[in-house]
Amino acid sequence: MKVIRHYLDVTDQACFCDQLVALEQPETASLSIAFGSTKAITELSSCHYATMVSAGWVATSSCRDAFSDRATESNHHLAILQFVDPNGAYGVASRHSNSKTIVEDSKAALEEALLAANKPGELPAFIWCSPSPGLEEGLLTGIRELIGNDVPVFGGSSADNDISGNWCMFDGKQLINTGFIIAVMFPSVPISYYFSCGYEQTTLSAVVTGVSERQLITLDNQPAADVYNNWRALNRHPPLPAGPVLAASTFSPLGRIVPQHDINMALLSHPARIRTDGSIDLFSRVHTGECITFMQGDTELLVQRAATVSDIARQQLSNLYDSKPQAAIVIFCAGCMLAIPDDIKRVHQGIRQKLENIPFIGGYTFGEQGRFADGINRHGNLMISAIIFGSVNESV
Amino acid sequence: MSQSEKQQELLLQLKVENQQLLKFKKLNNLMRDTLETFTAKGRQQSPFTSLFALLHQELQADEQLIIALNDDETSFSILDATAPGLKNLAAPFLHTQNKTKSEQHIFSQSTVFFDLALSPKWPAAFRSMLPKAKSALIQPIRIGQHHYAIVLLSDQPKTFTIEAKIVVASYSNFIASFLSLFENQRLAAERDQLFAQQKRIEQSMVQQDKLAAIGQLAAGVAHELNNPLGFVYSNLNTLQVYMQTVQRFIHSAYSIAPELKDIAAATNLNYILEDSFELIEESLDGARRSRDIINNLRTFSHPDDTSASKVDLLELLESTIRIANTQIKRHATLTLSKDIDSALVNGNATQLSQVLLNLINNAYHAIKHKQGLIVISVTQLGRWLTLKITDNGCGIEDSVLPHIFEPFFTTKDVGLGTGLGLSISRAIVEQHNGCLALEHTSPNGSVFVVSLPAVDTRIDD
Repeated sequence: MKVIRHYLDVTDQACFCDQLVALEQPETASLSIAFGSTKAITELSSCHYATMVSAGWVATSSCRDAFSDRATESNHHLAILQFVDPNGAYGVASRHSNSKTIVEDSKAALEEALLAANKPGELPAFIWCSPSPGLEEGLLTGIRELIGNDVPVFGGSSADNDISGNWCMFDGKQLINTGFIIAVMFPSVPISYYFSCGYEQTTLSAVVTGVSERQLITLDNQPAADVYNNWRALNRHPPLPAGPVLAASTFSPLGRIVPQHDINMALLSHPARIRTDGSIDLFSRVHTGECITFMQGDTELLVQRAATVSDIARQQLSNLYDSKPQAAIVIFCAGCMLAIPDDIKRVHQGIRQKLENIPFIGGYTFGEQGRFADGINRHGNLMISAIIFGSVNESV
Repeated sequence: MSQSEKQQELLLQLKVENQQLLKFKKLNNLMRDTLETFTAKGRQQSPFTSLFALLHQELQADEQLIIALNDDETSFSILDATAPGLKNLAAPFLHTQNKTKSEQHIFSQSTVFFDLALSPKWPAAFRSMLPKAKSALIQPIRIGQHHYAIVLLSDQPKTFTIEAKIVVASYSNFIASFLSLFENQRLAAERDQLFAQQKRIEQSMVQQDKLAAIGQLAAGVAHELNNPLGFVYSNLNTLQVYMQTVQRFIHSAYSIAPELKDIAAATNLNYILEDSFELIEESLDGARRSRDIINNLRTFSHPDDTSASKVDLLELLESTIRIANTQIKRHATLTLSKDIDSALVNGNATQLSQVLLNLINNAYHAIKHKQGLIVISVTQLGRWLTLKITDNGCGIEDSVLPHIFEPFFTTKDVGLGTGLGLSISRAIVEQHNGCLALEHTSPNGSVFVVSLPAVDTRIDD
C-alpha cells in the first residue's frame, strides 16, 4: 500500500488542473482524502480530472487553508492523501441531507459505501467522514445503528472562513454544501489514532437541566449564560454579552465529562452565541443530566497539544502494530487556529517533529469526530485528532 | 497540554495498555487450555470439538464451522460443525451449490460480517442451512498446503467485534502451528508405518523366495518319491496276491496231509499268515496315505497355476484339512459339517486351497489354549455356496478390525507373519466372483465367511 501526499496550489485554476493530471498513478488510487480552502474544494469539483486521479474523494473545506508537512505561503491549497492499495478495499458514498433525515441518510450511505468497496455487510477497519456543521451527531448515530460502535470513526466538519455557511465537500462526483461524505476503509496497513481536547478541567461544574438540540438553556436550573459567565468571573475572564462568542470563548469552552476507566475525559463543546434569553448556542449537542465543566486553555496548550496527540498516535502504531508510520492526517479545530493565528507555524512544526518528518495533511474544522479509548465515537468541538497510516508487510 | 491533562492521558494510556494486557491474558488462557486439551492423554474428542468448546468459552458464537477449501480452489466442504446437521454433510452438496470464486474467496480473508443479510458473498447453501445466522466472523487457517477457515456464527447482528477478530486471528496462528505439529507427527507416524511396511515387504519377498524354493524342492521330492512309492504300492499289491496263493496252497496241503497242521501249529503258521495280510493291508494304507500327501504337495507346489476348472469345494476342503491337521491337531480339533454332497465351483483349486488354508491357519493362531475347536461348515443357499470357519480363539481387537484386510497388516511379531494372508485371500475370492468377510468376532472367537457362486449343474447338464 502506498499513501502519497500532495500539496497543490489552487491560486490558478488552469495550473491546478495540470497539477491534478500529473497526480495520476499507474494504478488508480482507491481513495483520496483532502482538505483545502473553500476555493480549492470548489476548483477540485470543477476539474474533470479528479475522477481519473482517484476512484473516490473525501475532500473537505477547511477554515482558511489546509496545511501539510510542506510549508507554503499562499492561501489556497489542496492537501491530498492518495491511497493506492490493491490489497485493500475502499468505498465512498455521500448524501445531501438535513437534521431530519440525517440518521437514515447516514445508514443508507454507509451501506452504499460498503457496496462500493465490494464489502456489503462486512465490518470495515476504519471510517472517515466529512459532515457539514450541525449534522455530526446524526451521522454518528446512523453509523452506530447500522454497525455498532466497534469501528473507529474519525473526521472533521467542513468549515469556511467566517461561519457564513460557505463550507463544502466534494466526493469525486458532486459538491455538497449541507450533507456529508463517508468513506469505509479496509486497508492493508494498520491505522492508529488519538483524539484529545488538550484543555484543562476546572472544579466548576453543573448539570444540564434544560437543552434543545444544540441550544443549552439551563445549567442547575439557572440560565446557562449566567452560570457560564459566573464561572468566567471566578477565573478572571470578563463576562460575555449576548451575541457571537465563538472567538471569545475559545480559551474557556465547556466540557462534557466522559468517564472512562475511572478517569474523566472531557469532550469539548464550544459556545458559539449567547442569546438574549440567557441560553447558549453550542457547536455540539449536550444532553439533559450530563455533567458540564468549565474548561481552561491558553496559547501554549493549543500549540503543544497537536504535537503531543501526534506523538501518542505514532507511539501507539509502534506499540500495538510494530509498524512504521507512512503518512498522517491531523485535524485541528478552526476555533483554536483562529485563537492563535501567530503561533500556527509552531503547531505545524511540532507535528512535523513528532511525526518524524513523514508526510501529513490537515484541516481546520468546525467540529471534530473521533473516539476516546472507551471505544465510543463522538463529536466534539475544539478537539484535535491525529490518524497515522502504518507501513505494509506488518501486522494489521 | 496542561500537566494535569498529560497525567490524565498518561493514566488513560496505562489503562488502555492494561486492557491490552488483559486481552493478551485471555488469549494466553485460550492457548494454554488448547495445549492442555490437545495434549491430554486418552483424549476421545476430535481436535475440532475441543476447538469449538474453547472458542465458545471466549466468544459467544451460536454455531461454529470448520471449512476446508478444496485443492481445486473452486469449492469448499465442511470438515466439522457444532450443528449436528452440518457435521457429516456430503461434500458434493456444497460443491454443486458453491462454485463462485467470490463465495470461496470469503473464506480466504479474515472478515467480520455485521449483517449477513446484506452480503451476497455469504454462500447460498449456508443461507438455507443456517437461516438463523445473522452475523459471522471468518478466520482463515493455513496448515501446510491445506487451507481451512474457522467460521463463527451468531443469531444476532453486530455480534463480533474487531477485537474478537484480532483475538481469533492471533489464536488461529497458534492453532495453525499446533495443528501443523500434529500434522508433522502424523506424517512421521505414516513414514514409520511405510518403513515397517517396506520391511515387511522385503521380509515377505525373502519368505516368498523361500516358499518358492521349498515348493520346487517339494515338487522335486514328490516326483522322486512317487516312483519308489509306486514300486512299493505295486509290490505290496502283488505280495498280497502272492500271499493269497500261498494261503490257498497251505489249505490244499492240509487236506492232503492233515499231519502238516501239527507242524504248522508248532511254527505258529496260521498267525503268521493272518498277520501278514494285516501287515500288507497296513502297508498299503500307509502307501496310499503317502501317495495322497505327495499329491497334495504337488498341488501346493504349483503357485503359477491359475487355470480355472470345475472344483468340488468339499473335496478341496477335505484335502486342505488333511494338510492343516498335521499342525493343528496338537492344540485344536478341526471338524467339518456339511449338509450337501458336493459343492462345485468354477475356479482354481490351488488358489482356493490357499484361501482355505490361510483361514484355517488364522483360526488356529487365534487359539491360545489347549481346547481349541475349529468348525468348518458348508451350506448352499440358492446359487451361493457359503463356507464358515468358526474358531473359539481370542477374537480380534476393535482397534485392528478396520485394518485386517489391508495388505501387510499383521498383529503377529515381525518375521512371523507377512500381513498378506487375508488381503490375498480376499483378492482370490473376489477374483472368483465371491466375497470374504468377517461375520463376527468377540473375545470368545471369530467367524469368517466365504461365499462363492456354485456351478449351475442344469446348464452343465
